[in-house]
Amino acid sequence: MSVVNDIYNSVVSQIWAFIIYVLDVIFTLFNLPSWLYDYAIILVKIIILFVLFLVDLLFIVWFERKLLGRFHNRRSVTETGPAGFLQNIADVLKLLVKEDITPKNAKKWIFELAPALLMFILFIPLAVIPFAPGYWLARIPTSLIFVFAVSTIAPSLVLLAGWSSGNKYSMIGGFRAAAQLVAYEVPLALSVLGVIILSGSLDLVEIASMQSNIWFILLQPLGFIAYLISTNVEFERMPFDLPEAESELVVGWRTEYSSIKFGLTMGVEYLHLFVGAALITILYLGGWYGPDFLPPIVWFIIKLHLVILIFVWIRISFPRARIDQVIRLGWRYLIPLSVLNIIITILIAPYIAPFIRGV
Amino acid sequence: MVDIKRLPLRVLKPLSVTIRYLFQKPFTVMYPREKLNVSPNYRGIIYLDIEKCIGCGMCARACPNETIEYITKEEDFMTINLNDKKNLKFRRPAIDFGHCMFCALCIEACPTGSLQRHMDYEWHVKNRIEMILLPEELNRLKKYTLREKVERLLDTTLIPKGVGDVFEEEFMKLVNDWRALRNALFAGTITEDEFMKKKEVIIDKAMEIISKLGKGVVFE
Repeated sequence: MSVVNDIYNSVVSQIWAFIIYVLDVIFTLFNLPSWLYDYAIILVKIIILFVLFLVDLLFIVWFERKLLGRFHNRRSVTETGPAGFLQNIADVLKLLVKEDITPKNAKKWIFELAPALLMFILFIPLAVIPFAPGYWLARIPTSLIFVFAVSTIAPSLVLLAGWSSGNKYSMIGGFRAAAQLVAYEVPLALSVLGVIILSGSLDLVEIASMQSNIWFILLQPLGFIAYLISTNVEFERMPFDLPEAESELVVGWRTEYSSIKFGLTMGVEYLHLFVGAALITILYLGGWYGPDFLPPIVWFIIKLHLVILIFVWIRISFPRARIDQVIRLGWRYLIPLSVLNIIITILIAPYIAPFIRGV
Repeated sequence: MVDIKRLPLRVLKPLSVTIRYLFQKPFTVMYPREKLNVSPNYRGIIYLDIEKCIGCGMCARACPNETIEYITKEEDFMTINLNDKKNLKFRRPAIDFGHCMFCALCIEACPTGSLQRHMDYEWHVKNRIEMILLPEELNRLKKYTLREKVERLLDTTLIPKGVGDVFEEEFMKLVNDWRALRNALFAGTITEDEFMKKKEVIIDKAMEIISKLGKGVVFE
């Protein structure tokens, strides 16, 4: 154990002890029933996760903008705050004071609810994502399926948002989101099957802890490529962001949204980015495992942001594909590729099983 | 149809290009702090050496945007009548930079080299009348107030043409009144004192119109 590790552990245990102490004091002061105690602890954990996530979201937005600039050989934001770090806060403030417009043709209720629901749905996967041993809100035996199931709801909400806007561009954007979802749900699940075969579990914690010896990206290169592309499509990242396609559909399904509702739709994009990067880290990059001199959570965060860098790199390098090209890529190439990956995995699984060790 | 053989190259090449950019120094010039050196034949702001000018009128003829019109020097204001063909050598150019496209044809046309090309490209003003420069202001040494400027520029049509906006007709009437007044002065039908009084009235009206410029008009 290193010095950094020790300091981190002592600080975190001190803070946690303080929180427990405050909870105890509150419970004894107001004479609250003891069954409420577990819920209170979960609530505190949720609040901590939420606050830390928001801070990280600020960082991610800045990080992506800065990287986009540097990949273009320009400087990106520089003026607001140190290295332009406060630009996001300024943007959010600007969005908050803008006029909130609901178009005449919009189906009002769905139109107003859709971005909020989208944000809500995309926060749910964070509950089962393990950040380090012990750092999760809930551990359920089928958390991988749970994450996929929940993130499948998002494109249908995008379809709803596009349809309720009463605008042809929004509607086409929504249709495209649905088409992409249908085409890429299959390769996404099939490419992850290799990981499931190797680790023998659907539990994200179990999958991550199986990689203490060797990361699955080394055993599953084909599956990793298929999964990376499928995630990009599923989460509407840049070369496959056909639901918003600026050059064709204004801004696609978010055309009619204004003010902070537009801000929410942008937040959805970064939530996608975060969840997608976290899943790739857990499934293929060994989760929280790394050399001993840093605490596991730090390794997880470093890996997560490296994956975000790869996402931005892919985003900046390729022009947007046409909708038929995207769908064809899914059905014709990615599904065979992931099936091939499964076959190879099944054939070699007995020979590489000794290398895979759980903790 | 995707060409499978060329696919790895088509995927890896753009990725390699962008990753190389990531590690290069950005090309951005941080403008107010850093500035690019402009080329020696850059066509920037135009200067006038008023002592060299002979009032030949070539620059106004060369100007494709008709931004140049002639007025007298400040000291000749009360004495020289430019409508008189004998006095053409006393005229000096006033330039409306709001409509100027910096083609520098006036500089090519100038026989004495009194119009000069400079490499400055930074200039800021608060309204469009400030972009019209009097001959004395053209070497950027002297600066007149708005009222003085309007008084001198009423000899020309630069204000109604350049910044007239929806008030162009109203302003042209003022310019015509002004011409009649000037002609009366030079013909000797009114005294200098009377001219001064009537002048103030016209300039007051002009300033009133100018204060409405750019504010927008509500059409009923």
